[in-house]
Amino acid sequence: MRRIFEITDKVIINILGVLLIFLVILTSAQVTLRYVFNSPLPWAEEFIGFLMIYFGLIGGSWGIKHSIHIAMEVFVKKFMKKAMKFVYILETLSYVFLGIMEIVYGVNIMKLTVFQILPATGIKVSYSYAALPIAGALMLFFALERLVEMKGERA
Amino acid sequence: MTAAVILLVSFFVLLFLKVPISFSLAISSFITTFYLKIPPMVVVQKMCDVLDNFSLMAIPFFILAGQIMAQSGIARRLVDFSNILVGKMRGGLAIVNIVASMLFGGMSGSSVADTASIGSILIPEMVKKGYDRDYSIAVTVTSSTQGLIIPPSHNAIIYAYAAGGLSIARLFLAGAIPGVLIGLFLLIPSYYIAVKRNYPVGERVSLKEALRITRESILGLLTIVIIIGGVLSGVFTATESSAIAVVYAFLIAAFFYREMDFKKFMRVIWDSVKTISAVMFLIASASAFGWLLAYLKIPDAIASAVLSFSSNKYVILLMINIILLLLGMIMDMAPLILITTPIFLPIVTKVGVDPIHFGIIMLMNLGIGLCTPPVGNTLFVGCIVGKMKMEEVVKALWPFYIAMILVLFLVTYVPFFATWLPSLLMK
Repeated sequence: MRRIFEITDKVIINILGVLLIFLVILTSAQVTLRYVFNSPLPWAEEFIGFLMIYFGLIGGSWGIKHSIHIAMEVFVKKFMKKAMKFVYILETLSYVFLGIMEIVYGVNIMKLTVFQILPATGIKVSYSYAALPIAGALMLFFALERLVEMKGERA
Repeated sequence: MTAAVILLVSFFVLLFLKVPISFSLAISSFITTFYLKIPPMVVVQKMCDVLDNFSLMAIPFFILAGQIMAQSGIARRLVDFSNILVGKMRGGLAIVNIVASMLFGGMSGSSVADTASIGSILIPEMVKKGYDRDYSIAVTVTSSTQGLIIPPSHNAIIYAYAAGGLSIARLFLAGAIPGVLIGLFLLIPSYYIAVKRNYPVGERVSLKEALRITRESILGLLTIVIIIGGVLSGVFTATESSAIAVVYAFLIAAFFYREMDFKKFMRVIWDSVKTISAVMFLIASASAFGWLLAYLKIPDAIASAVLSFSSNKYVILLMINIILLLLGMIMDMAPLILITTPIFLPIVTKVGVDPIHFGIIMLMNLGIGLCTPPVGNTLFVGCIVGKMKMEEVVKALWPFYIAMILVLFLVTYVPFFATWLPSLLMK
């Protein structure tokens, strides 16, 4: 079980890393093409936006594994020292909640936009919103890991 | 009215219970849409829409460029270069610390990266030469906030977005003078304390050595010329200049300084992916929250409440500054920019404050917040690098806080410092 979480983590960070490098290359290629060859790629900006949706949402879900999201700990540390387990579970539940919301309403919005197409790239608009259910599923996955880990600590 | 209460109360309750800020924002937005019976889909739609925005791409790129710079050995060279310029003064290393941060700020907009890279070079060296440890940390931490204001700054881009799409080039230019002013104001307590405690004077650098260091540093310093020159002359957009900055930083790190191998490069990418994911996800959820704030006309309500209390520009700016200083003590910079800009900006523009000027006020103010306990990222990193507890450093920080607050009020009440350069260079 633990292995599955680890592999997923490694796969995602590498995908995001490659995506970041690709975005840099595409954007700087765009500048070069415009100034040197006077012909920028017409689809580049739209495609970068498309990829950014995936980057931001999937990165957000993946980030809960590495606690990248800033939280305010002062209050809890001062007044709720004895209820840390409750705090931990509440935080995990917030991930579960948002994960479910992303899946449910992501699928909804995909259904609504199924016939729309992005003008320059020809990508279906629903494909960009597909980032939502994917990110939602990942969020549930990493929330599950938190629960598994908590159980492991107790045992 | 009830909906506004639900939105704000659920947000603060989640926030205080240690639910991450970005999740608190999104979840309270969902709860409010349930209550209002408007389609909750709007929340996720807003989240996607804001990410699909070419001008915001400058944020991940500037973060990445800053990370490369921090790992490339440029920090060491900037320290040496500053040492040539100011090292001979009393308390030389403290002054070098401030000047090096000023230069580093022209390449990176992250005070954390600045503290980590310059601090890990200079704090041990300062302690070895007889400077007090808490003083060394205090100088490092506070001077690193220059980078938040001196262009390029990804926080400035976050503000430009939160303010409804201001010109990033203008905002960058507006930050140049106030950023340098922070450094100049920090010099006063640094020098005064150095003289009082008789800290050592730096060593002389030979001319040959000085020439070599200058040559090596200039390549790094060119980054700021490329970014600002490119954006100003219209050769690049801000986003394009940020991508070029990444490529340039990588090239000098890998081929000129030869301090970037594959392993280091991967670590830079991973660290950047973490920071970028956190920032972009925060921007996404803050955009949903901000939409609901506007939908419920909460900023208008707050604005009229404040304006009924006083419509004097100076009083309002003073109040906002105090509120931001207090919030900055407990919250991080980016979320505060995203949450408070839609609330405060309409108020100040109503009394005639320029949005660009207000952006600089906000960045300077929240920069102080990064150096104050209990929650101050930069201070936190400075304490790790300097191997000291936060409580032990705070006493040494006071003279620097005072200097920073003075320069904050100077820039707040004399708009000239922020608005002169953009109005001179951009018609």
